[in-house]
Amino acid sequence: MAGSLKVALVALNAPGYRSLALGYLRAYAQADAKLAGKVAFQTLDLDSEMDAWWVAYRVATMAPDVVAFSVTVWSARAVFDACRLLRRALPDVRILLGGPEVGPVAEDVLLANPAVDAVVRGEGEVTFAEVLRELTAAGKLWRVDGVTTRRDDRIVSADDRGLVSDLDTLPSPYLAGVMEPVEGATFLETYRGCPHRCGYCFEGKGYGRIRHFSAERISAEIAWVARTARLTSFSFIDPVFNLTEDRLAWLSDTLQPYAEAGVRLHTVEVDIERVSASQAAMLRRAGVRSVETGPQSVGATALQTCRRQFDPERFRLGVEACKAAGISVETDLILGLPGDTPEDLTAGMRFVVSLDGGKVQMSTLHVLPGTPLWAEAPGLGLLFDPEPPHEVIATRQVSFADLRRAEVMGLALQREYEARS
Amino acid sequence: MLLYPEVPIGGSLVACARCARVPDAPPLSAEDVGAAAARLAAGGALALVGADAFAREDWAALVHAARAAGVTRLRVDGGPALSGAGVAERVLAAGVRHVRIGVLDANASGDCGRDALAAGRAFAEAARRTGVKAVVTALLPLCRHNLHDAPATVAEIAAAGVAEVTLSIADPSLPAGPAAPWLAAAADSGTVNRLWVRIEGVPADAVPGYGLHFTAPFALAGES
Repeated sequence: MAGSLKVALVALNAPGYRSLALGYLRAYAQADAKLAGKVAFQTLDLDSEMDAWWVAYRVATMAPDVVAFSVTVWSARAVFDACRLLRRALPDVRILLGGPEVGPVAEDVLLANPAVDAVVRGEGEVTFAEVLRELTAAGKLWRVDGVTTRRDDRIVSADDRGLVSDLDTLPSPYLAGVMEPVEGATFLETYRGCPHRCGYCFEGKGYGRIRHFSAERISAEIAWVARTARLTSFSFIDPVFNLTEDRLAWLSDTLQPYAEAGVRLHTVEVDIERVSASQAAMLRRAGVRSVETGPQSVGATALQTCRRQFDPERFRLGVEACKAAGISVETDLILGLPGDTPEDLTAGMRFVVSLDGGKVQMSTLHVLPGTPLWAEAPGLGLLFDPEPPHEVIATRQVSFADLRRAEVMGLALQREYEARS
Repeated sequence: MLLYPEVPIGGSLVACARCARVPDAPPLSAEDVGAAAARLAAGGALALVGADAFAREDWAALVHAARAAGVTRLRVDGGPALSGAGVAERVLAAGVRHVRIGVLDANASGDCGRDALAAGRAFAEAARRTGVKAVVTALLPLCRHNLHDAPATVAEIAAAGVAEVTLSIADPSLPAGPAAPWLAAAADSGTVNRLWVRIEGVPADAVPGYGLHFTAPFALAGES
């Protein structure tokens, strides 16, 4: 495909939210000198509750040459349906998918969705820009590392692409003007990867190591959203905000002037067992007023299966430290982890309620592509819905019926716990 | 799901008229409620149990007495009085966030039937309108007169937006064995309608496979 391209970037998000992933893709591609003047972008951040027909309508009225969907476990069904409709409505459009729901299972996605032309696997910025360069030239996507596509009547996967070693080479969606900061729905990223390897989680996205944005970059983004855009509330998507003591201290010092001016960070994720009184004080100084944490389970077998550590006393002390600093703690449980018995489920509920952190969140397990549980499910006797969002059906320890009961029980407990003046 | 030390404030929330009645407790004054709250609510939780508290002229004084004694998590037994004009709003303004209604037969008229469900709806609606997080739970005492209607009653309670219902075997002459299928059906009726059903008054092994429904209430920090 030669000449200019109209590219629609589409994500179906939780109501009120926007896709940071699309922001990064667009910022990087727009900065690519080889694409200058050849590509025009439009981003559609749609509501995940939107019907696939209306998603297709919104895209079709843009008459794009390329539509690229960021796909999560929550949006996958609607995206696949929208792709099917778009293929009929716009027969010549190139349909690309990327994101954690499709990257790890790219070949299966293309097999199941004939409307889709290609899947961008892994970290998307560099690969997506190269895909666009290829589409403005010869169009041979199978030559692009990190892409799974169709060639003749076969599905072919090019080699994996290495991770970006210097994250600062990825333009900031905010500083590049691609994303406008929005009150309460603006998230910054300070590193990629995760120090943990929890079996159910894709937070690390298979990155294997932690890579950081520079202090200068992070400071500039914070200044942009808090000073220039004058937001009073934003947050970070980092899987562990208190990654190290030094890093937390630096963030606290950097954010403190803004916090003193009234800026608040809404709900950062922390390792609660490492939160001491001094860490809680640093979080408070940074403007944090709520944190989210595990334990996800208190059952020894499930914890071992999912490669998670849990010390109930350290957990409790961390919660107490946060409460003493005026920070509420959302404690999370996952119902249906392999190894947990019904007694473990209720023990987990009893534990998180006993802490009285301020909020409890319980949800059934969703087995995500690319996670250890996805790969190990047969051996663990873990049954889940092959259709997204891949909700757990049963485990060896908990029946289908008891999981449904536990879910209803958890919902009632949440409602009752949160009903306080 | 949560544990509440109970203070009887007089009367009975719900009782079958055809069963032998236990005499109701005499009405408790606001002063007595405050004293009981100070004695029982070490962790801040308390339930005022008895006849529809909001039918009493001094209901606000009862609530204030409990809160003044340090109660931060208060459940109050309520009924048709909540459906009165502006009552639910005033109850919420007084700081009540959890009301328990009593139901015997959802298809019957009266305080323990449709009127109780309407009261629960009124409270829930008022909370939604005012943007306050509140919850309605229910007590469904079971005897030989309403056991067979339990599954349908649970479905109606679910439709009223209630979060949890406790099925309490109130009839000592009701054997656990014959009651078990009805308890199981009522529990299933709740689950499919996303209403949590808790069962008490029979041993858990009387209803095999339904052990979760016998889970004891949970206590918060500082509560026993």
